[in-house]
Amino acid sequence: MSPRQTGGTPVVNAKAPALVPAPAVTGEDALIESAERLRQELPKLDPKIRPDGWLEVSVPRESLGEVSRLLRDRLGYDYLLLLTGVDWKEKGFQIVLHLAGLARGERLVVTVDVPREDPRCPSVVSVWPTANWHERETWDLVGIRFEGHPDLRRILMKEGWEGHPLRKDYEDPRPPRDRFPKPQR
Amino acid sequence: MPDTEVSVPGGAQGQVPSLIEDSPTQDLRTEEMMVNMGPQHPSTHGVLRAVVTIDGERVVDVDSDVGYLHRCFEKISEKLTYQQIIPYTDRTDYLAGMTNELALVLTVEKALGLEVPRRAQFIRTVMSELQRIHSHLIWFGTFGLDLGATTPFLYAFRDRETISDLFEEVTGARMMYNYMRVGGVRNDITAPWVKRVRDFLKQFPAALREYDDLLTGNPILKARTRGVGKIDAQTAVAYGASGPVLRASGVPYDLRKHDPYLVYDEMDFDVAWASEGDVLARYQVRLEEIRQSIRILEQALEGLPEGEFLGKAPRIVKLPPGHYYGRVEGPRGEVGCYIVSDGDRKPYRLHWRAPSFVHLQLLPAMAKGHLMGDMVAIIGSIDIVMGEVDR
Repeated sequence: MSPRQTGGTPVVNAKAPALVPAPAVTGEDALIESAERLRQELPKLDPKIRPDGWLEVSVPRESLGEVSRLLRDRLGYDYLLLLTGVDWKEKGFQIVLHLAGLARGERLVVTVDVPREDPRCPSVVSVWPTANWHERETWDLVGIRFEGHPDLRRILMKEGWEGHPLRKDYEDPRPPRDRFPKPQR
Repeated sequence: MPDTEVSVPGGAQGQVPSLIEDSPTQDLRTEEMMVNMGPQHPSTHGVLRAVVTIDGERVVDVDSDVGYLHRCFEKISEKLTYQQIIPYTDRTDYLAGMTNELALVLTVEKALGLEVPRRAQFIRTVMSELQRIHSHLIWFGTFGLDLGATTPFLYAFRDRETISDLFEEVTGARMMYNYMRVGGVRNDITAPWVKRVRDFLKQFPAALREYDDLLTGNPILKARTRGVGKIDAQTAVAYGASGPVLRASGVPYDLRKHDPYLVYDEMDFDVAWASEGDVLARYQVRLEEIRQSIRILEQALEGLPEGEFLGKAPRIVKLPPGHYYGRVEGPRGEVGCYIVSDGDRKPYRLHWRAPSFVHLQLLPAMAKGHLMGDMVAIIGSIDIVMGEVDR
């Protein structure tokens, strides 16, 4: 059976869609073309093509703000899916963003390395407003400060909580307890 | 009643004097008030605390305080094998267990490059669409209930009960299915079960028409939802909305069509979308999605092939080092599972992209300028489940 056409007919009303999303880019040639387009706009970056159809690129921390703006405005990556952080112990932290370009169907993963001694990263809230809560969660659980964030405070943990639970060196503050106590007679 | 003559003191020329001398209303200073909605509230769909700043009855700002249901899912999954994480995914969005498990299992299979038997793909599709109808029926019932309509709630749950029974027959559970496995599903479905699903699908469209009669044409519903909580396409995309919230704002983006998985690319169905972007539009989109799900279900059951329901998968699942992202179209939006692996049996880091978490950010944009009473309709229309907001 052949793949279906995308877009779908408007079933609730007759106006034209505000934005017609394209199906996800698969296929070797289209991905190479996507990667080329990215390389042209951002020559310092070297995008890799992942086997699952996503492009992957590593961005240095200082240029994240500028690169984000170019990604959104010139390359059409207008849709931020998620932003999170990973604790790589001695190697530092890594911020990961998953982006999609709805009009062309492109998908991109951006990784930013953040040193452990200086856990700060520029915020991308001004580029993708949805990053607000994602960055708050990353600050709360991984402990990376996002500079330029309008309201960086804890979101999942209680206010006043100390420590960042998703870090690998986070110590459970609860007192040790007997996991298999004997029944009291 | 005949017009009564009303005499107004000193009002012979038609002027109505102020009843209070030197009325202070022109110097009246109004102050904004911060009102707490939740965390225990019948209409916040879970433990959500919305701190609403109101000026009179108009909402000026909403700050959502979440985290009351945070159960450290991501931290816990760092010490569990991938198969052990499956029941935990059931419990993030507890009203859409099948699609959650699917998100995890699809990511693992993508990372391993595992081939899943066709029968298992079809079974998974059937379960996903049944789950979509199941979840949308809860949404429909509770949405009506929030707005004061008690009857649609009972009707929706009556139909939902049939689906719950179908799930229980196959998986043994009504809510925490623990059904998807790496490589397929846990049990097979039988021909009598398929017949029962078909019987349900035969009588369900009539029930949907009944719901339309009960709620959709209701003038009170229209008055409370039309023009309320409107967001345009740019805002929706900028805020990362997905699923019905995005589609109701004029962007017909559906992962089943635009990033297909399972056997959706072989199914004939339309993407339900609307342009208004208000609560009524989201309502209509979800109802239409139920109708499209019925179409997909009929096709999937028709084309159900014979074969294995669980393919060959390694007993000890170790993902190659790297990071992987798998996404599915859940009833609430895009559910994503981001796994970072260092080659071990357990994920080094697992992050759950929950659509409700992202959509709750839209609450201020939707609620500003509306009345306090509209908050309930707006929160109901986003269809949030706190289990996946907090994880």
